[in-house]
Amino acid sequence: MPVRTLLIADTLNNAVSAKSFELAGVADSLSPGRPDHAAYILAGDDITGAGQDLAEKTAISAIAFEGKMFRLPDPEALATAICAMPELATARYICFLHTPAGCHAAAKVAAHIDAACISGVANIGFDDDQPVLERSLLNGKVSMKTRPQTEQVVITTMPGAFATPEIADQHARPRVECRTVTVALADSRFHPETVSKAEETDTGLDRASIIVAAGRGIGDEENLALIHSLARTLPNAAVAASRPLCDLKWLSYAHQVGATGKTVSPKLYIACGISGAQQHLQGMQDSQCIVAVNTDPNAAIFSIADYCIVDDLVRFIPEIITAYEALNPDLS
Amino acid sequence: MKILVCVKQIIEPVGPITIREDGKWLNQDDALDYRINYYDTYAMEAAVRIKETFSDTLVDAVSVGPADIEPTLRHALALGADNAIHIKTREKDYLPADITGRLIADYVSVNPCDLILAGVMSEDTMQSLTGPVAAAHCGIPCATAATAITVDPVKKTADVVCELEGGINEQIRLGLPALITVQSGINQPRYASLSNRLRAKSQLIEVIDKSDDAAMPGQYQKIRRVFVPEKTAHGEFLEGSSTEKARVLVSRLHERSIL
Ligand SMILES: Cc1cc2nc3c(=O)[nH]c(=O)nc-3n(C[C@H](O)[C@H](O)[C@H](O)COP(=O)(O)OP(=O)(O)OC[C@H]3O[C@@H](n4cnc5c(N)ncnc54)[C@H](O)[C@@H]3O)c2cc1C
Ligand SMILES: Nc1ncnc2c1ncn2[C@@H]1O[C@H](COP(=O)(O)O)[C@@H](O)[C@H]1O
Repeated sequence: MPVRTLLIADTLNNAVSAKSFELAGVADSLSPGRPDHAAYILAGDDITGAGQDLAEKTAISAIAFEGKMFRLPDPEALATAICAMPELATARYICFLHTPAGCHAAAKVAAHIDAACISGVANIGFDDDQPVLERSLLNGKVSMKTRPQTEQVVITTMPGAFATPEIADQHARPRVECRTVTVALADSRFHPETVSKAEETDTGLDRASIIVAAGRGIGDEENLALIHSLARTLPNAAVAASRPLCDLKWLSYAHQVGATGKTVSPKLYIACGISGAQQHLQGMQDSQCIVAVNTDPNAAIFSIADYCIVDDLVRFIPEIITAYEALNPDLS
Repeated sequence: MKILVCVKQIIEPVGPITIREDGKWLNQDDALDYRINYYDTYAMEAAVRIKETFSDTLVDAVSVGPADIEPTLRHALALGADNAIHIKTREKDYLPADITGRLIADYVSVNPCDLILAGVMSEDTMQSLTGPVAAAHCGIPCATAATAITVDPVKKTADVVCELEGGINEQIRLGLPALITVQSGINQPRYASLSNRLRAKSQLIEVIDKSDDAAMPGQYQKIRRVFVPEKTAHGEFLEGSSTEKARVLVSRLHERSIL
C-alpha cells in the first residue's frame, strides 16, 4: 500500500513541535483507523532520534530528511526535498501545519504538482468518497466547506483543530527511515542565517494568576488606563494584549499573547475588546476561566469564554472594579 | 529597483452577516464594508520606505478582483504607490489563492520586478497563501511574516527577519528577485499625504482584463457551502445593566474561588 497521506512535522533545533503530533489526527480524519496509510516527514541536521520518538508516539512511520541545510528552518529546501521524493507521486494528501512557514512550503509543493492548496483547514469530511474541507473566514464569523478539484491536495491544518488519536495497535512497529538530503545549496537564493529568541522583558505574565488582556476594542490608548487599573485592583494580576496593540506600540511585544507571542494559562483571563482570532486563542485557550467583554455578541471569543459580557468595556471595566471592591471592602 | 505590492480589498463585517440564497457566498448587503487589508498597509509602507532610501525605486500596487475593488487601488496610490494595476476578474465571490497567486505570477512574468511584497494574511479569507503561491509560480524565493527588511539593490539581496512561532525569529538572506510577505508591526504606516490623495483620485489605473473564464487559470476548488457557524458557546451570557452584570460576574468568580 503506497503512502496516501504525507504529514510534514514542524521542527526547530532537531525537536518536533508539540502541534506536529496533531497531524496524526489529520491522518486519522483522512483514513480513519489506518495510521499505516500515512507517513511523517521531518527535517533537521540530526533528526532521526526525533523521528523515532514521533513514530513511536503516533504509530505512524517517519521519513527523516537529514542534511546540513536543515540546521535552521528552510521551507524552500524542505519543499524541494518533498518534491523530489518518490512517495509524492502516489500521495493523495500532503498536510502541513497552518503557520506562515507551513503555508510557504505547502504552496511550493502544490505548484510543483499543480494541486489545489487549501489552508487553515479545521475539519475534514467526505461526500461520495471525495474530501470536503472546512475552514474559517472572517475570524470565525463564517465557515466554508470546499471541495478540491484536483486528485492530489495540499492542505495546512489549523493548530488545535485535530486531536492526536489514541494508538489502537500497541504492537505496531512504525518504520523510521533516514534519508540524507543534499539539496544543491549553491544555486539557492534563500539562505537562513540565524535563529534567535526575542529579548525577554519581565511582564509578570508567567507568574500572574489573573491576566487582564486588552484588544483593539479599547479604541484609544487612553483607555489602557482602565486595563491597568483593573489589573492593579485584582490580586496577582498582570496586563496582556493582542497583537494589534503591540503593533501600535501601546504595549511592548513582551505583553503579546498568542501564536507569535506568549502562551499563558492563568486561573482567570479577562479578554477586553478582543475578537478571538485563532492566533490569539492559541496563546490563552488553556486558561482555567475565561471572561470576555465585547460589544459584538457574535465575536468569536465568546465561543470559548466561560462568562460572556456583551458591553462596552469603557463602561464595564469600572463596574467590575466597583463590584470587586464591594466584595472586599477592606481593599478600597 | 522595481517593487510590486499586492493589495487586497477585504470584507469588513459591520453588522450581522447573512448568507446568499445559493449558499455559496455572503449577501453583499449593509452588513459588509470594504477596505484595504490591514497587513497590506504595512507592505505598502515597507515599499515606500525602500523608495525613500533608494530614490530610483518604482513602487507599483496590484490587486485582483472585480470592478468594485478600485477604491483599494486608489488607497494604495494615496499611500505612495506610483502606479496601480487592476487585474480585473468577473468573480465577486471567493477567489482562492490558487487563482490570485497564479494571476499575479502571470502578470509578473511579463512585467518583471525585483521585489514583490504581500501581506502575511488577508483578514477576510485568511489563507496566508497568495504570496507563497505567486512566488512558487514565479520561480522566485519567498520569505514569510517579515518583521524587518533591508534591501541592497547593488548586491541584489534582501535581509529579512521572519517571525516564527512563540517569539522566535529567523534571519534570512534572499537573492532578488524575491517575494516577501509582511507581518504587522514591521513599521508604523503613515497617513496618506494630501498631495498623494489628490493624485490618487484622478490617476489612471491600468486594467488587465481577466473577466473571461478562458483567461482564468482553471479551477482548483469548488465551494460547497458557506455558513454562519452555530454558536458553540458553552459559557454563560450575563444579562442586565452593566452594574448588574459586573456584580453577577464578581460573585460567580467568588463562588468558584477564582476571586
Ligand atoms: C501569522 C500571524 C500571527 C499572529 N499572531 C498573533 C498573536 O500572537 N497574538 C494576537 O493577538 N494576534 C496575532 N495575530 C493577529 C490576529 O490574527 C488578529 O488580527 C488579532 O488577534 C486581532 O486582535 P484584536 O482582537 O485585538 O482586534 P480585532 O480583531 O479588531 O477585534 C477588536 C474587538 O473589539 C470589539 N470592540 C470594539 N469596541 C469595543 C468596546 N468599546 N468594548 C468592547 N469591545 C469592543 C470588537 O467587537 C472586536 O471584536 C497574528 C496574525 C498572523 C497572520
Ligand atoms: N485579490 C488579491 N489581489 C492582490 N493581492 C492579494 C489578493 N488576495 C490576496 N492578496 C495578497 O496576499 C496576501 C495574503 O492573502 P491571503 O492569501 O488571502 O491570506 C494579502 O495580504 C495580499 O497582499
